[in-house]
Amino acid sequence: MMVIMNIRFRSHVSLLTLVIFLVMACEFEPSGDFFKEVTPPDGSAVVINLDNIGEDTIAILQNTKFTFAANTGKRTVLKTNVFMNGQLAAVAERNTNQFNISSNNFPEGTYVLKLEMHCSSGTGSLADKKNLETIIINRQWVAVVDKAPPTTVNITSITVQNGVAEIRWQKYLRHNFQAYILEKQEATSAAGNSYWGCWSKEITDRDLVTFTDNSYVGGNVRYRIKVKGADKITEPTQKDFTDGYDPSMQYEWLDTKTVKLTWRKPRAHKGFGRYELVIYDGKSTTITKSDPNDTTYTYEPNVPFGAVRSARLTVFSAATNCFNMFRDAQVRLGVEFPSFYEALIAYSKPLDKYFAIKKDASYRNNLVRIDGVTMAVEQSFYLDAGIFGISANGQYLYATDENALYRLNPLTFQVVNTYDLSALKNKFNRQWGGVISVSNNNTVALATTLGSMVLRMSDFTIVYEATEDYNIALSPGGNYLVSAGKIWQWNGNSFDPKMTISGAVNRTAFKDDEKAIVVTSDQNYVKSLILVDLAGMTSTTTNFTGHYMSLTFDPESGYVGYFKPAPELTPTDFHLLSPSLALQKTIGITAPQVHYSFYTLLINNHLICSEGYAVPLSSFP
Amino acid sequence: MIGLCGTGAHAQKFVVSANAGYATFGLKSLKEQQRDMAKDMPVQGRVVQSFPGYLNYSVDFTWQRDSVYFGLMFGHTSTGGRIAYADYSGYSRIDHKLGMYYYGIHAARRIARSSKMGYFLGIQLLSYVHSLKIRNREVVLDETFSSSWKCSGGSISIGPFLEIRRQHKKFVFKGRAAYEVHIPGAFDVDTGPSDLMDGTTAAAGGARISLGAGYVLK
Repeated sequence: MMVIMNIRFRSHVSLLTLVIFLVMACEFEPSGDFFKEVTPPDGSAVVINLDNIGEDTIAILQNTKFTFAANTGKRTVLKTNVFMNGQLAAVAERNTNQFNISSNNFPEGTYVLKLEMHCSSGTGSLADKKNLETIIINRQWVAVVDKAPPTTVNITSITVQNGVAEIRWQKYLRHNFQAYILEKQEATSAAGNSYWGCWSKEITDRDLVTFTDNSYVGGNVRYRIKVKGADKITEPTQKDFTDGYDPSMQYEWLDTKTVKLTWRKPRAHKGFGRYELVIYDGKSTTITKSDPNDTTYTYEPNVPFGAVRSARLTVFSAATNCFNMFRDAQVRLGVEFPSFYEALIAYSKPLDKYFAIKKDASYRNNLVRIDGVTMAVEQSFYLDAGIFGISANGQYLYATDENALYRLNPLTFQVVNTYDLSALKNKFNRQWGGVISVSNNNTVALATTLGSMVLRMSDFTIVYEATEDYNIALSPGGNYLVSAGKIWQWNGNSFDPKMTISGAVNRTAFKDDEKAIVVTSDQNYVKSLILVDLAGMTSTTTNFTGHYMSLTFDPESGYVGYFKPAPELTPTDFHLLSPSLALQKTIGITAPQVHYSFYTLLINNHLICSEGYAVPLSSFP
Repeated sequence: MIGLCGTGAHAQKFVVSANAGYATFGLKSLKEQQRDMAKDMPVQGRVVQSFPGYLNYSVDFTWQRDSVYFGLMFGHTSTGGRIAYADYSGYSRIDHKLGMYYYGIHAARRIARSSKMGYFLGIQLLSYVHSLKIRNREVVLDETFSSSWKCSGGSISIGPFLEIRRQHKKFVFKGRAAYEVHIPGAFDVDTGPSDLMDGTTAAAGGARISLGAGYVLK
């Protein structure tokens, strides 16, 4: 029984051991797999470019920072080593893709610069994700270490085409190029004597040898170019240029009230910013025009004769810091007329010419002939300090120059004859002005330092003589003479006194040989006008309590005209009188600057200011 | 249990049995953890095996009196899972291996009998001890990386079963079908990151089918 029990017990233990073994052997074991098809790596599609290098030969400067762009697709750049001739020169920054190489570390010469880029494979494989699978991409360039200073380049041309200025220069050929530095300076005046810096541009593309200047709007300009290379900058070379543009602002009267300003459009209109027009008429008004083709402006300046209303046109460049060209127009009532000295002007109706004394740059007298239609100086004759007179019929023109008395052809200024005044008195004539009047019968009355006299020019003979009378005047027909406080009449051989004038004669105006209008004055400048009927030698005197200025008799309008003195550039009146000295019209004008020898006169049916402008009387209804 | 005890007691026997069968497992939490691990892989790993049903072994000791029996039960089962990825450069696998030891009590009452067979309906109450191993192995190009972590936990299961028994002389042959519902406890990380099993439990509930053979000792 015990044996049986032992056998059973051992069987049970064996069975239990077997069960435990089976349990242990049959423990669950995970299984299964997943294989993904992934394309193995291929680095051929990776492209590396150095951003600041446009070609395969690059310059190594003192401190050259390179930036490269790597088109690696899904590949991650892990590291980029930079070699110069196989020597590790730099390790690029991973975040910025930049590295620095200094020429200080290398002798001058030619090198192979190689970028060795380590990238992940980008396949997305397990090894790629674990950064265990990398590819190496190499790209290399020829590099040059050139430490010598750069050399200059020249600007070869400056042109304006299609509304913009284009500047061209020589290409810089050496490898140490860093930049062209192009500077623009603009003339501060129309003469182009001085220049004002406008802008400076740095152009880092060696192949870019043209620049379109969108800021150029015309006028004198200077471009300078420098080269930056090997961390040094050359001296500039420069070229001046102008397209000849000047706004040339002008004005014209459309009617008696309205003025039209006109100016020129710039050729380089793409650099145009705006026109700014400032009108001054007691206050300033600013008008801005942004259309370069809009080159007119019409307005009413409300300017009396003799006054000036300024208008300033400024042509602005599109660039804010460039010099802007401005031009002024001095708007006056009337048209331009050549300026002349004081009241020394005469009009010859038969010739339709004005004759006047005009000062030159040396302040010497020049006799000028002014066309009655164009009102432009036709010809000039140097007189030094001399004066002139022309007969009413336009046939006889005489002028003095110290001892010389010239008879001139009025239309050519050719000297017809020259007379020696010193021969008359056997002494020198220090001519300083005086008066001269010429009659239609070729007789001349003049006042010189030799004395006052009347000369019959047919035989250059003195027919009348007086001392120190600088107000001597001969009638147009030569029959009457005002001199030495008397009115004289020609009797065929000599002048006979016919009337004594009360008061000191200041000036005489004749209406043909019919009437004389004699202006008298005293020391207090209280004036009177004496109207003398020459045939009957009767007179009418009109006393003035005030002053007069520049009294003339104008045969063309039939008026006697003068203006009442007033402080310069202040309002005053210009009076028009009938030959009988009755007031016909008063015209409001601005007093001329007599201090500068400017007068306002009535001549040839015009008010003319010797400052240089004229207006017909018809403008004053 | 009261019902089971309510039968008359006239004949009794003591049986020891060894059983082998098949178990299925819910393990929803572990499956989620597995999916999360797959997502966290640097490559697109795939869950290729996720805690499938597996063999179940147990022994039980029962004391039967008339139509009712009571007993003790000890057993073991296991399951696991795998996350896998492979390409030309190598492979990566994360294996979960869950071993479960359990013990507890069971009781049943015969609900029918035929000439040779007895049909029992019973209930079992078990305590599970879980042992989880997570092993990561990567072979990439020429390099191999591996790591493993161990965790342990437990759960309580309760469930009904239906059992068929046949006795031939001293030998008892039986078949059982059960369904377990688990009340899981938290895992403790024995080795590995402390947050490895945060929020993960081992609710290994599921079906249990087994065949067994026993011996009537007395």
